[in-house]
Amino acid sequence: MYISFALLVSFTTAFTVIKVKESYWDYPDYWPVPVYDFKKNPVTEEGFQLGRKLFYEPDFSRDGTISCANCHLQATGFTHVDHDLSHGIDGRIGKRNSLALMNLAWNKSFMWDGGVNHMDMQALQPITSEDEMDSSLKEVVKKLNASSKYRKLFYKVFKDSIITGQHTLKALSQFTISLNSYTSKYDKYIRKEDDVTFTDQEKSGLELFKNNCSSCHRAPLFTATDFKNNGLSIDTTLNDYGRYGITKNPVDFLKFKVPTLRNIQFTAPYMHDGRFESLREVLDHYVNAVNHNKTTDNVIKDIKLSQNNKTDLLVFLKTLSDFEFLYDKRYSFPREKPKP
Amino acid sequence: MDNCKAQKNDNNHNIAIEILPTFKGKQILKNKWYITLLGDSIQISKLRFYLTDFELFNTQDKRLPIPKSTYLIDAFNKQTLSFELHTHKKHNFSQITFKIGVDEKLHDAGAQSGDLDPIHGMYWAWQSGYINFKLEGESPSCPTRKNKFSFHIGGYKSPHSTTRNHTLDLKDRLSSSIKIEVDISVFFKDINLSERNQIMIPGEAAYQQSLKFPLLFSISK
Repeated sequence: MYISFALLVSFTTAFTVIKVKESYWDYPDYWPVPVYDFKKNPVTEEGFQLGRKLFYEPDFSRDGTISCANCHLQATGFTHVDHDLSHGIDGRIGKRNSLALMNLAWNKSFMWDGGVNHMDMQALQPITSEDEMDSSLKEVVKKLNASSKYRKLFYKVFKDSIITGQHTLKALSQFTISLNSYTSKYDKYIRKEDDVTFTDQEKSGLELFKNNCSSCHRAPLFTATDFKNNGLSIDTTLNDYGRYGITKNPVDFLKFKVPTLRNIQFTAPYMHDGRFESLREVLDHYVNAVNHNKTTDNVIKDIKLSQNNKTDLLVFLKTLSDFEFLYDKRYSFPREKPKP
Repeated sequence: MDNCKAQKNDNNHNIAIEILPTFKGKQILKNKWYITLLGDSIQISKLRFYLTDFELFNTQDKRLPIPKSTYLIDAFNKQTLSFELHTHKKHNFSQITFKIGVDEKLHDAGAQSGDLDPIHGMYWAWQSGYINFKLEGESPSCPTRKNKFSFHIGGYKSPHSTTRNHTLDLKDRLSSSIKIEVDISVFFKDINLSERNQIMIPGEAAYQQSLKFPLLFSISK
């Protein structure tokens, strides 16, 4: 790890924000060290704003109709609500449910199968997928270079007015890497902040969560950055074998990325193929419908929850909703400032 | 090659490298038919590969690494077929070494610049990593759509890394230009195109194919 840190701003009560040195980027002091190497791409205000503009730029798609935000909407935790499989250009349907985007600086790999090895390279997948944007980085950069506005913005960030693929990907990363969620009710409860308390039901849900869910969905990120088979039966219309498709290693058969549960209330539908429309269905799956095979994770083979337990868990999961994040104007569509 | 300027200055010496893509010694041209060792007729439509991390050895066996020597070679783009390696001092060189492919460390290090910029279509989107060597074309032997063959050789993780080191002895030690021949017929040495006409993912097949890379490269007479 090359990142060096400096303790800076002290927040309301019990917690400190760690600011990554020379970067426009921070996170709570009790969180793990991020994986992303900020030294190679220090986040600046200008870089963040450029990345934000690119995130909402429909010219990333072949026919100028689809931007990143089409499948990653802020109000639903930057995912595509109500769509089991993400869809893109010409109304084509993809093969997987779009993932929610948050706290990405801690991810070692990206996509449901972990096929992408770096935040910077993630965007190549939707840009080139013929079911999503059906374009190429070369084509995107050509379009950006044709815009004097973009050339000026890139010059401000990278001191080079000729836009390159590298700079396009790095600018986009500066935005996506900054989508940090750590101000949910749960976070404030843990930090004893703003006099936030949990109801008895929320406390019961938290205990149930610790005993049944937390080995894969570990706090504070509520994910383990690895891959598990959570006992879903194979959808024979997709025949998606997950991580196995990348590693070709039988131990990875039917394993998928463990997604974060932060803002899970708003990121329906659930699972890599969006097969469950509600969290209640997800819990029912873990209790009643786990499909046992060689790679099914042992932990989920004996989850026992009563109907009341499930209700308490669902109440707890809602405390992971971070409304400051979901409605943070810094992340929203960048409206041009009216000229004075 | 015009090296007059460089040779005037003793502290700054340039070695001109020329890459000569051939099929059994004959320059590769688009739309020209070639016959492989196993008897398949082929045309080559795309041939692109990385040559990186050049080092020169002088006659005292001293190693001179050439910083930032990363080149994406395209057989059908003349500009990419010649470049200059800059050394600080004039030497007589006995050997040249380089990698065929991109250093393993750079495959997962985020977006790179220049010839390593993913804009060049030599970086996989769905399974990250550089394509070290790309060869496409057609052959009536291929039972594929439009009789196409595609070899996208990549993969950087052990034990299937496809980046190969190669060393060539320099016969003419005084020369300030080096011609490197790349004989593509060697790539097809054991390939029966009716059976093997695609490698598009990292793994054992890509690794095995990459072991042949060094055999393609030699100093041109």
